[in-house]
This record gives sequence, structure tokens and C-alpha cells, in this order.
Amino acid sequence: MAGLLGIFLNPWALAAAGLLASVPVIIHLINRMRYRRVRWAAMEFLLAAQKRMKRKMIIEQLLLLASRVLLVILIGLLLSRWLISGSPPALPEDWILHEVVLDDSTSMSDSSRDAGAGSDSFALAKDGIRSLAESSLVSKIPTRMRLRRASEPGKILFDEQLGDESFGALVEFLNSTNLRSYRVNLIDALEVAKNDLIGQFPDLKTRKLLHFFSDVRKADWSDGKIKETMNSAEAVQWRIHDCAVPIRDEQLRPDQHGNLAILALGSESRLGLEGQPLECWAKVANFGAQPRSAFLAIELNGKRDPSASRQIESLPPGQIVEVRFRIIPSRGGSTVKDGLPSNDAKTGQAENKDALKDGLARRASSSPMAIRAILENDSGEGVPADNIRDMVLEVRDRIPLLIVDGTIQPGASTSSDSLYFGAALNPQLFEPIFLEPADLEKQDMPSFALVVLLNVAELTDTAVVKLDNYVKSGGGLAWFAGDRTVSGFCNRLFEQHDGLFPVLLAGQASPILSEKEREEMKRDESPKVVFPDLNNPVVAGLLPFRQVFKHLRMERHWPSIESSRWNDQTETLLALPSKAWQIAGQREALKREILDIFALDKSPFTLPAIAPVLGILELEIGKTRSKIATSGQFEIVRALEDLLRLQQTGEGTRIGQTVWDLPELIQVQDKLKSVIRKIQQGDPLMVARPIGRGNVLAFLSSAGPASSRSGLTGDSIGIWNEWANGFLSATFPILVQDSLFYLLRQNSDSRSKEFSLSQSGGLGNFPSPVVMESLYYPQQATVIAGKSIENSKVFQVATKIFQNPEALWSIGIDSQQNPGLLTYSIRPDSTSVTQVRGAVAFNVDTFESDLKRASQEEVDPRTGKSKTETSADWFKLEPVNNQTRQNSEMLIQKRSLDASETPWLIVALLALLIVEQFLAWRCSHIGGNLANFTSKGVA
Amino acid sequence: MADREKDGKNYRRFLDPAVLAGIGRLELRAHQAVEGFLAGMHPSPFFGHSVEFVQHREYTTGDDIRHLDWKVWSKTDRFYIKQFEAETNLRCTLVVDVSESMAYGSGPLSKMQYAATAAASAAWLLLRQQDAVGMVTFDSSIRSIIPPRSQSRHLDAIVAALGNDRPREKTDIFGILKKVAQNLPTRGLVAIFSDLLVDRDALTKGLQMLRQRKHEVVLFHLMDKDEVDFQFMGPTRFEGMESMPELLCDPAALREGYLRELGEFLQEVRRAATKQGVSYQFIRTDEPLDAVLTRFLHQREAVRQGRPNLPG
Repeated sequence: MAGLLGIFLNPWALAAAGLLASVPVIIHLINRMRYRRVRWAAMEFLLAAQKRMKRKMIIEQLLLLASRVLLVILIGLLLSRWLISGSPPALPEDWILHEVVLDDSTSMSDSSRDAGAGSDSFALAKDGIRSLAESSLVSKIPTRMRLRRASEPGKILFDEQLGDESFGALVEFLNSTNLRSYRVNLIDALEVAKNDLIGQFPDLKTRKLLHFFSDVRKADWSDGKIKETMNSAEAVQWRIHDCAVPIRDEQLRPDQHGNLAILALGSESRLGLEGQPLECWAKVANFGAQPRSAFLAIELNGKRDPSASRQIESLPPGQIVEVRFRIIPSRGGSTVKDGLPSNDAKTGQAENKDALKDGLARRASSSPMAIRAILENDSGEGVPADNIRDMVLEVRDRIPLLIVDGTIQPGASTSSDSLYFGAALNPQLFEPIFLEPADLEKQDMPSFALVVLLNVAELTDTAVVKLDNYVKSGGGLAWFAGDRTVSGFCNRLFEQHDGLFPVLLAGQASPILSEKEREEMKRDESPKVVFPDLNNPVVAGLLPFRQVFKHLRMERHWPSIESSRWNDQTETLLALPSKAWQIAGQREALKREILDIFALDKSPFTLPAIAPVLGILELEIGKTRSKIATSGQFEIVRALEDLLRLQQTGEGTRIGQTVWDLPELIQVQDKLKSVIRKIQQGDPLMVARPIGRGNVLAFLSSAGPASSRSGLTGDSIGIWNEWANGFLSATFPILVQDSLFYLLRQNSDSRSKEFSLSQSGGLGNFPSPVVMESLYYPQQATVIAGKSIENSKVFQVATKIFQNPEALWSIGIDSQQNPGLLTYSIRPDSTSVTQVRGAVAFNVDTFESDLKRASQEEVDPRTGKSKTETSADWFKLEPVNNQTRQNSEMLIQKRSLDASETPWLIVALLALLIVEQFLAWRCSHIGGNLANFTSKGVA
Repeated sequence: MADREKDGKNYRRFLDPAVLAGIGRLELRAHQAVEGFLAGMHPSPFFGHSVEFVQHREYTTGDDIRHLDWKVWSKTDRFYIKQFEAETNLRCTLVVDVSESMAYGSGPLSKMQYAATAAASAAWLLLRQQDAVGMVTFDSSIRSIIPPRSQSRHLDAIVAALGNDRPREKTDIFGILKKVAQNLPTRGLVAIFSDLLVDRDALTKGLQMLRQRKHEVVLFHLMDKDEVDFQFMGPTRFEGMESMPELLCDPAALREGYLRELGEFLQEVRRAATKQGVSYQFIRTDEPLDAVLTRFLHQREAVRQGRPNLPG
């Protein structure tokens, strides 16, 4: 009725309505003027009748008049349906333009059993668009619809005036539209659509509506950028259609939908050795509000591995659980799911002589192994795409290792350092190649899994650039220092190459020890190397020998400086013992610091949450406190470490959970770790950090015992250390091997970015190369598109091959639609037998897994501002099934809301017509018994 | 006789007012009406008895067997009726209303024309049977008086008296009937042709006075079909005749009341006539004239045989 009132708010409309309603009166008055005259004899009867019938006649005439006036009004209402063209007169338009943006990101695949069989958010969204078009079909105002997907905002997929024919085309298009399997930048999409919409029909009076069909996730809206986009367009009316399943009620409940997802899948090493067990892990998240259980199935090269698959008994709501499993890497051969052919490594090795050909052979000797984790749960709800995650493992027989020795003598194959280092390598696992620094730049560096630089002075710029690219694209680089190390060069690498050398060095190495100092060191019972992080895998193999490290001869090293400038991810794996404990003042201060931490009468030990463990804490802290008074530096450290490993007992505790995992004690735990570090840790000895997708490690002493200039004895410059050849020489291979495996570890952070499928331009324009460079052929090779690329059904749709700026071949895939494994092979030329085969895993962005929904406040850009009447419903968050028909098409519905829509109007009109006809008949009917007045006389 | 029967239907058409309206002269109109009337009648029920024998006629069903000539039957073995010259001792006075209200007519004949035709036809019929016929016309007062005569050419005088160029309203019906009664020295038949749009009491008194003077009175109440049916449609301005006011109205709405008033009026007139022993005949001017003439003959027969008035 609001629309009807709107009509009569116009004074001209009111005047017209009044004129229309008075038509019967006017007709009546005109008829009164157009009478006929009759000279009448029997006037006495007429006058008497008039006197007798006067009251009744007036009532009947008034009723007739009233019914006719009402008839006119009702007919007017009925006609108004066609005459008033669907919109209130205050806002007349020539056109209505619906700009529809369809969110086709992965999260829209969320399905719910409550939403009906086969219904997911995307299907709901398509239904909503269909309903929108349907309701627009009946509009009297010409209505145009433009449709675009959020994944391709620049591409208008449908742009037609809505009619029966175009509606059919729209439905056909919607039926054939599928979801994207990657994250979509909604802000860009809405910005493009908005700007495009504003520019449409500038000369016409057009109502412009921007419809956004989305699941309205909190993750998309919480940063407020979409709201900024909405706020900045005055000429556009927004409609947010909530398509999330299950459909929300009026209180916007539920505010999330449960979803299990594999957030990450990785292995301890990016390179697997055939037959050698490899530890892998998967991070599984429960985004729902209820605890769940699931089964993690592992497929290796397309075959399910029951020994690796795991049942996850409990997935607490809102938490991430890491599931670890062990696999035995194997060359996929023909068993790889996507049909990888078996690789003949020796073919390539035999026919190549120079370094590049050796590189090609090394590349060809690797095989990709497909590892797939599948999360199986019985709910059948949520986003299906994030229940599967793929990874590719490079499998080799041995690890190709490039060792550059800065002390190698011309004509000699090894030097002191490389001799000891090479001896520490297990020939079953490693395949080392020794080089002089000058030969480094000639090498096909990516064909090696690792590069080790032993006591290298300075490198050429070309070599540095190649090293930089190599590490950042996933390679592992280890530095072992020595007397040839140039601190200025190292520091330049730190500063100009993003930490290619991970620490800043002091200008000089530590001085040569005098005999007296050497004797003192021998007598010193304290360990010569300490392990700052006992949980680090590099030190895991050394820990059993911890007690004997007091016998290690560690005389010289390169001190590091300005540790505050180190990267946050830099880890100190090994360190020299601190000398602070030797200084009485500092020792007392450290003791006081410990005692302050142990103040049991203060918070947090007084908190109620601590009460269950307070007894055991008091006991253990008492023991530790007594040791502080009587023990030396490292006894205190061990006591503190034992205290930190204190197990929590009692019901409801997890195995391995320590007392210190209680949230209230986290701060105390950190303080204890800090003080342990201060007591034991001096200058760092081994430091590592990730760079790009690779890792770099620096051992700040030498690999061998002595310097280069004095040969194996080197007395003139002193002994650096005797780890490789002394009492602890048995542990040196452990150190080397664990360090090298540490460099091969997957960088999980960069890896997750690497596999993120960015929105812009689909899979073809990743921010960084997505494939594993060690599998790529260098620049000189010829890639023949269409011939050398083979084997993968997925890959057949690839249309673009390009060379990336780092001079490495990369592959762009424009048409990859679904996550999964992409395999490929490249040959240097069309005649070459040798081919490099590889695979790339594409996984969905875990950003799409969190299905928490935005609230009305998060969606409404007017929050905190005054709301205008006209935009009151623009941002109202309502389920798509109700909204599309009721709210989203407000202007069309406004026309429909007038009284002419109701069937009761027709009924009333018919009833009134009957009454009017009856009255008219009654007022004009010729009746009576005429036989009473005949010549036969009056009866 | 055979010709008359043969052409009977043709003659009867002259009883139709629509046909009579096409005949200009009243005498001729009356003549045609009577001829038509007689041609359509059953043969000879109205020949009277007289001492002077006229002829024999073969008996037909319906003849009074008292008039059979048994002598002829004995000779011929056939039934014959003896017919005699009727007596001419009936004096009939036709009282015709020529006032303004009689001028109304929606059909071919106005009430005035219908009354004049009926009166002239009756006069012609009576004169043909040797009865004496007189005429009185009136509106606001008596316009003309024609004394009763039985000569056949007396019809001309009667017809001449029926014209009235300037009709006026009726005022004193009692006074008029009183004068009529005074002008009739011997008892006879008084036939009144009027629409009776007059004062009811005065009318009753007038009829009563005529009856007290032993006159047989026949009251022909003429009304137009519009006045009876009142089938007017649409807004109409009724301008009253005879000094009545005018009225603009929707006649359809008033029709029910009008018919009720009219019905009450007719009942009242009829009751008054019955009470006074007056023969009452309601005539619609769109009906054929035979109702009038039949009533006349019945009434004449009743008077001749000394029977009371026929019921209305």
C-alpha cells in the first residue's frame, strides 16, 4: 500500500483521482439537464407517488451513485497496475541496470545437508541470480543485467536486456558455470564492477544496482576493504545476497559452518632418497564449533599407503592438529597417478661430458613422487576441495652435492677441509662433486640439491647471483668458515643479498690460543659447544654425546656481531659457552633473576588455575633452588632444563604435556628459557635461516682442523677445531649430515605461499614461480611446446610457456581449473633422449577453508554513520532465498505492492458491479402487474 | 350476409384505433367502426321484438327458441326465426369529456379522439336501431347539448358537437352531471366518456343524482396506455395539464408509487360506480372499440328488457 500512498502524495495524482471519482456525479448532473418534456394529465398520481417514494428514492439513488463512484475508483486501481510502471513516482527511471557479481571462489563449494541434496552455496547463488532475472521479467521498466564472475572481473559474461529469450540464455550460462578452485580477490572484483557500473548509461535516468552473490565470509569482510569500496559509490545501490549454507535465519544464525581442512602437507626434506624413510606431516584444522574425528588417508603415487594413513581421533574445534607419518620414497615410474613414464637416469649421464650436460643428467636422474593426503569424514559437508592436498617429492638415489673448497690447491683434488668434509659424507646418501671457487659460476647449480662452501674467500658477482637465485628458488647453501673467510664479503652478502650469509661477522676471527690458554681449555670440564634448542633436528643426533663435548677442542671461530639485525627466522643451532658465568657480578645477577622467577608467593603461582600443579612445582623448584646455590654453570642449566621438562600428571592431561604448557605459566617458561640462554650461550657457532624458498646455514668455524696455508698441521695460524679429527670425530659426520638434511627441509611458510593460487589472472600469473627449479632445464635448452610437454591430461590444456626473469624455465598454466597434480616433461631439443620430468602440486588456498560468516555490522558500510532512508535496506544481510524475491528487487516489488496486485480487488470489483447493476435495475426496472389495468377492469 | 361473413376480418380491422386514426372524418370513422363491429358479431342477437313482422331467418345455434316459427317448421320441417321491427323508445344521452386532460395520447388516438370515435360509433349504432340519441360535451362547463333524436341525420349534429378547439380544465363535475340530469326529462341511458381526472366525491354525487332520476348510467373510463403503464425512462419533466404543477423526476424510480396511486384511484372509482349501480367500463385507448360498442348493446338490451345494469 506504500506504493499507492506514494502515488497520491503527488497533488496532481490526487486531483486526477478526484476527477475520476466524480465522473458518475457529473454524468448524473448532465443527465439531469438532458430531460425530456411530457405534458401529463395524471399529475395527481405522480405527485402523490413522488411524495410517497421520496425517501426511498433518495437512498437508492445515493447507493447507486456511491457504487458507481467506487466502481470507478476500483477500476482505476486495477488500471494502475499497468499505468504505474512499477516504480514509485518519486523515482521514475528509464532503465534498471543490475550489475551482478558472482563469487566463484572455492569457499562457495560449501555444501550442507540442511540445504537439501546437492545444494551448495554456489548453487544457491545461481538460483538467486535466476530469481532476480525472473522477477525483473515482469517489470515495466526496461531492465538490463550484466553478469561477471569475481574471478574474472574484467570479463562480462552476460550483458543483455532481460526478456524471455535472454533469460533462457542466462539460465543456460548459469548452468554451465563452475566454481574456481582458488582464492578470489573480491575487493578487486567489486571495485571493477562498481566503476564499470557507474560509467554505464550516463545520459539516461538509470537505477543502478550492484548485486553481490557471495557466502559473505568473515575472512573476506573483516578487514573492511570491501566496505570501503561500497562506501565510495553514491550512485550505486548495493545488494548483498547471502548464499552461505545452511541458510541463516533472521538472527543471522548459524554464524559459521563446520569444515575440516588440510592446511598444509610437507616432509622433513624436500628431497627423498629412494628406500630411505622420510618423515612427513599434515596439518589438519577443524574450523567448526564441534569436536570432530576424521581419517587421513595417504596416497603415494596414486596408491593408498595403509601404514602412512592415520585415524585422527580428536580434532578440537578451532584448532590445528599436526599429524605425522612416515613414508618410503620410491620412484613413481609408470605407477604415478598421472602416468609419469619411468626415468632412465643413466642415459643422460652417459651422453653428457661438460657441466651442463652433467647437470642435465643430474636433473634427469630425479623423479617426482606424488603424495596426496585425503581427509575423510562422514559428515559430507563443508568445502570438499580442501580435504585433499598434494605435494611433490623429488626422489633420488643419492643427493647431488656441490662442494666448493676455497683452500684447494691447484692440481689437487681435495684440501684439508674438503677431505674431512668428504669423509663425513655417507656415500650411500650423497653424491659429492668438489670444485674450486672459480668453477662455481660455470655449474648448473640448480641440478644440485645442496651447495657447500668450505673456507671460501670471495666469489665472483656472477657466482653470487647464481647462488642467490639458487637459494631463493629452493636450494640449500652451507657455509663453513675458515682463515680465508672475508668478513667484509660475508657481510655484503648479508646486507645486499637478503642474508645469503646469515649473520654479520666481526672484522677478525678469534685469536690463536696461546699454549697456556690451550692447556686451560683442556682442563676445563665444561662443554665447548652448547645446544640452544634441544628440540632442533640438527642437534638431535648430537645430544647423546652431550656429556663428552667438554673434550672438544674448539679454539677459533668467527665472532658474529649485531645480532639484533638478524632475520627473525634465524636460528642458532650451536653456540659456544657463555663466559658471563665466569664473572662474579653477572653470575650473581643471573642467580637473582632465577630466584625472582621462582617466587612462589607471587603471581602466577598464586592463581587458582595453578593449584593442581602447585605441589609438584614447589617440590621441583625447591630442588632446583638448592642446586643453584651449590652447582656450577652447566649443572644449573641442566637443572633448569629438567625443570622445564616437568611432566604434568593427572586426569585429562595429554601425554607429553608439561606443566609449563598451562597458559598461566607460559611467561614463566619464557623467562626460564631466557635465563638458560644467558647462562650457557655465548657466541653462535652454527646459524641457519630460510631465504626465499631455500635455506642457508653458516658454521662459523672451519670444517677441517687447520688453515689452508699450513697444510694439514697449520701450526702457524693455529688449530681452529678438532671436531673432524679429534676425540669427537665420530660425531662430525652426524653434524654434517644432519646439517645438510636440515638445509633440505621444506620451508613451510614460503611453501604455503608457493602453492597459493592467486586470483589475478588465474594460475598463469603467480607472484613467484611455482614449480621446483631443480627440475627445470636451464636457459640454453630448447623447449618445444606441444611436443616435449606430454603425459598429463591436465597439462594438455596448458597454453603458455614462458621464460621467467631469473633465467629459469617456468611454466604458466592458463587453464588449470582444479587443484591437483600437474606433471610435465621437458627435453633440451626435439632429438634428445634425455628428458627432465617434473610435477607441480596445486592446492587450494586455505584461506577458503574458514567458513565463519560476517555479521551485519561487518557488512554494513554505514556502521557508525547516520543511515538514510533510501539506503536502509541496501546492505541488509539476508538469506538469498528470501532476499532475492523480497528485498533485492525492491523497486519491482514496490510496484507489486500496490493494491491492484491483490485478487481481492477483483472480487470487490465484481461484487460492487453486481450491487450496482442490481441498484440500477431496481431504479429503472419496468415491472408491476399490467394486467390489473386493462379494459376488462381492475382486478 | 355471406359477403359480410366473408369480409368480416377486413371490417374488424376498423375497430383498431391505429386504423381508425387514419380515417379523417369522424362520421366515416364511426361508420367504419360500426360496420366492422357488426361484421364481426354473431348474427343477430340484438334484433328486438316488435309487432311488425320483417322477415324469416333460418335458426342458428344461440337463437332464442321462443322466437321459432313453429308453423313454418310444420310445413317445411325446418327451423325458422321470425324477425320483427324493433321499438324505438330508447333515449340515450352521450356525455363526452372534452377537457384538456383528454387531449393526452401516446398512441394513434388521443383520449379525446378515442372518446369521440366511440361516442360517434355508439350514436350511429343506436340511430340505426331507431333509438333516440343525444349528446352533451363538457370541460369546465357544458360546452354543447344536443337533444336526443332518432333521425338518422341527427348524427351530423352529434359529430359537429364533438369538436372542441380550446379545451379547458374540468372543475365542477357534479354541476355538469346535474345539468345533464336536468336536461333529460324522461328516463333513459346516459353514457359518460371521460378520464375521470376529477374530484372523486363530486363524481360520486353526480352519478348518484343521475341514478336517482332513474337513468341507466354507463361510465366509460378512458385512459392512455402511458397513464396505465407509466413506462417512461430517463429524466423526464412532466408538465401538468389542467393547472397541475410540473415535476422533473426519474420516472422509473417513481413508477412503483405511481402505479400504486393509480390502482387506488381505479378501485375507488369502481367502488363508487358499483355502489351507485352504474355500469363501469375501463377503456385503454390502445384497445379496439368493440369493448365500448359491446357494452353499449348489452346495456341497451338490459334497458329494453328492464334488467338491472350489467356489472362493470
